Amino acid sequence: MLRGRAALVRGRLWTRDRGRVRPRSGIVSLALALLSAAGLAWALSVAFAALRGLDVGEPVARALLGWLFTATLTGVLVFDLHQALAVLVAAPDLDLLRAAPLSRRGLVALRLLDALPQSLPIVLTLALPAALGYAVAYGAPAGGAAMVALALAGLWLAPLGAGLALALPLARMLPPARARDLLGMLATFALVAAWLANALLVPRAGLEGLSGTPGAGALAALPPPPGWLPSRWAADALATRFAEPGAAVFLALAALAGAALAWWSTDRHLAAALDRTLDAPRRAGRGFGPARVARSATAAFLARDARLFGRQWSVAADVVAASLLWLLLPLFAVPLVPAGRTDLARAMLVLLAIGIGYEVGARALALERRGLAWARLSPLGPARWVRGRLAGVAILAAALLLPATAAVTLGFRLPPAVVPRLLEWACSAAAVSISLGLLTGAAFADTAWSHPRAMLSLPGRLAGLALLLAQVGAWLALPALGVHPPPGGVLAAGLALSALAVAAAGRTLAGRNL
Amino acid sequence: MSEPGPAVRLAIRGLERRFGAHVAVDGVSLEVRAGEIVGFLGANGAGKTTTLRCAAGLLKPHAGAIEVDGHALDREGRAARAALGFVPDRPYLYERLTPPEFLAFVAALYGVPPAVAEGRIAAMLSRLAIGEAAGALLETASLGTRQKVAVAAALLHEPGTLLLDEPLAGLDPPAAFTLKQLLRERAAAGAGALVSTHQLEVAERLCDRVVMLRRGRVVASGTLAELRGARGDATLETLFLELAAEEGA
Repeated sequence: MLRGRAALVRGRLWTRDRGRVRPRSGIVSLALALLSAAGLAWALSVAFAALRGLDVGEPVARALLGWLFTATLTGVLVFDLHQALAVLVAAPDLDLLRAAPLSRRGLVALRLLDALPQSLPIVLTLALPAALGYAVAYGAPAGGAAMVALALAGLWLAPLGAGLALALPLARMLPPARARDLLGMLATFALVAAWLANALLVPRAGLEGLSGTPGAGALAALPPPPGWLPSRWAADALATRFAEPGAAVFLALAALAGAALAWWSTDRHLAAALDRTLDAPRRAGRGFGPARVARSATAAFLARDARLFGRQWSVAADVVAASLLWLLLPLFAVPLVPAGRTDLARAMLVLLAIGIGYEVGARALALERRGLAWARLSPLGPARWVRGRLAGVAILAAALLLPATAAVTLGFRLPPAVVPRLLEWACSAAAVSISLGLLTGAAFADTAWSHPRAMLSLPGRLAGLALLLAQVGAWLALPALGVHPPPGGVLAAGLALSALAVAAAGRTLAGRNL
Repeated sequence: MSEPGPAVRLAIRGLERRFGAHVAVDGVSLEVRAGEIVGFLGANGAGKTTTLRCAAGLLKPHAGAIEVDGHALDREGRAARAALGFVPDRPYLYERLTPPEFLAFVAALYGVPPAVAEGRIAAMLSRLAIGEAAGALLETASLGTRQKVAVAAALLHEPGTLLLDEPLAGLDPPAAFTLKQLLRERAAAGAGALVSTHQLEVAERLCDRVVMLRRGRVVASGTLAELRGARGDATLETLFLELAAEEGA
C-alpha cells in the first residue's frame, strides 16, 4: 500500500513514456518551492547575521525567529488545513479505498498519510528556511538536524491536530455536497487573513524601512510571541540549542498531542463524514422557478451564469470578499504614498476593476467545469462563447463597481463632476482586466478544480498574477507619469485592448483540447 | 437538422491523432450514411473515443478530414456542429443546474425556438423517465440519470448526425430500450448514427453496419453478413475476437 502511494507521488512529478522519463507539472511546483525556500533561507541567514552585528542582542533574533515560526503556525491553520481536509473527505479515490479490504484504523492511517503531507509546504518553505538561517548565523544546536526536525514537527502537528479536531466534526455535520463549499470558505478565510497581514504589516514595515530606523531602536522593541505558543517554544529551544529542557519538552508534547488529536478526530469522525459524502441526498434547485428556454444565446448564458454563481455560494462569497479587499487596498498604502482624495478614489476603483478581472474573469470559464466542452460542441463556437461569458462577468462587474463608486464618492465627499471620469477609468480597467482574465482562463482553466482559488493550472495562476501586477503597475503609473488622456480616451483605449484580448481568448479556447 | 439531408451524414477520411509519441488514431476512414446506425467496435484503447472526440470537434486531429452533413468541420464548423449531436462517455453537464435547466440551456445554444424546445424537453424527460430527478441538481443525480440527460441534450435539436460513446453505460433496461428506440426513430427520419459500444449483442441487433478498430486502424467494416463472408455461423463476438481483440484480451 505504501509503495502504491509512493508511486502516486512519483506519478505527479514525472512519467515514463516508452522508456523516456518526462517531467510533469508537479515538478514545477516542487522546483519553485525549493527555489523559494533556498532564497528565503539565504535572505534570513543574511538578516540574522546582520542582527548579530547590531547591538540588539540575541533575544531580539530569537523573537524574530519566534514570529517567523508563529507565521508558519498560522499558515498551517489558514492555508493548508483545508488542503488536508480536502484530501481526507473529498479525494477522488475514496470509493476505491472504502471498497478495499482495509480495517477502519488502516483506512484512517492511510488517509492521514495522504492528507498530512498536504499541509507541509509552508513548514518547509517558511519555518525550515528560518531555522536554517538562524543556525547559520548563531550556530546549529547539538544534534543538529534531529533537533530542527523536532522543532518543525511541533510547528506542523500542533496546529494541524487542533484544526482537524475542529474541522472534521463540521464536515460531518454539513450536507455532503457542501463539503467543497466549506473548503472554499476556508480558502476565502485564508485569503482575507493573508491580505490583512499584507495590507497592515507590509506598509508599516516599509515605513520603518523608509524612515531609516530599521536598526537597534526599532528592533529592540520587538516582543517575543506569547509564551503559550508552540512557535515560542520552538524558537526558544533552537536559540538555547536545546540546553533548556523546558521548551524542548513542551515542543515534543505539542507534537505528540497534535498527532494524537489528528488521529483521534480522524478516527472518530472520518467514517461518518465519508458516509455523508457518499450518500448525498438530492438537493433541489431553488429560487429560479421552472426552466424556460431563452430566446437568445446571450439570455441563456445570463440565466445559466446567475444560477451557477448563485448556487456556488463559496465562490460567490470569495468573489465578494476579494472585491472588498481590492477596493480597500489603496487605503493601506496611503501612509506610504500620500494621495489626494480624487486620486485615491480612482486608485481604489481601478484596483477593484483589476481585481474583478483577476478574481472573476480568470475563473469564469473554469467555473463551468466539464460544461465548458459545449463551447466546442455547440454551433456558437468558442469566440461567441467567450463573448457570452464576457456579458455575464460584465454584469457582475457593474454590480460591484457601481455601488463601490457611489460609496467612494460619498465617503470622500467628491464633487459629482468627477464621477464620470472615475467611472471611465474604472470601466476601462474592468474591460481590460476581465478580457485578460478570460484569456488566461481560456488558456489555463482547470475544469477539474477542487479548490476555488486554484481554478487555473499552476502556470495559469502564475500568468494571472503577472498580468495582475502588470495592470496595477500600468494603471497606477499613468497618472503618476503625467499622462492625462482626453475624456473618453481611456475608455476607448481600454475597449480596444479588451476587444483584442477577447478575440485572442476565443482563438485560444478553439485551440484547446477539451 | 431536419430531414431529408445529404446521403452521407458523416465522412471521416484519413484521420490521425497522436498523444505525444503515441498514435491513438492512425488513418481512420469511415462513413455513416443517412438512415444508418453504425456500430463502432474495438478493444479498450483502440481509438474509438479519440475518433469520436475528433469528429465532435473536441480534439484537433493531426491529419485527415471530417465532414458532417456535407460541412467540413474545420472550415464550416458552425454548420457542422449544428448538425451534430454527441453523447460522450462522461457527460458534459453543469453540476449545479437541474436537468430541465440544463436542457433549456442546450436548446438555446442550438437555436431551437423556445416553444418547440419546451415541448421536446418535456417529451424527453417523460420518455427517458427523468421526471423524478428533474427537481434535483445534476451533481446529486445518479450515473444513469446523468447519462439520460446527456442523451436528451444530444437529441434536442434533432441532429442529422449522432455520435454516441458507450451510450448505454449506466442506463437501466427500460432507459436502454428507450434509447435504442430513439436511435431507430432518428435513423428512420434520415439521421445517421455512429455508436461506440462494448456490448456486441447490442451492436448486432441495433446496428446496420459495424466498423472495427484495432490499435487506431480500421480492421473491418461492413454488415454482419459481409463480415461473416463464408463463415455463415460466425457471431459478431467471434468475429470481434478474431479481428479486433488485443492478444490476451
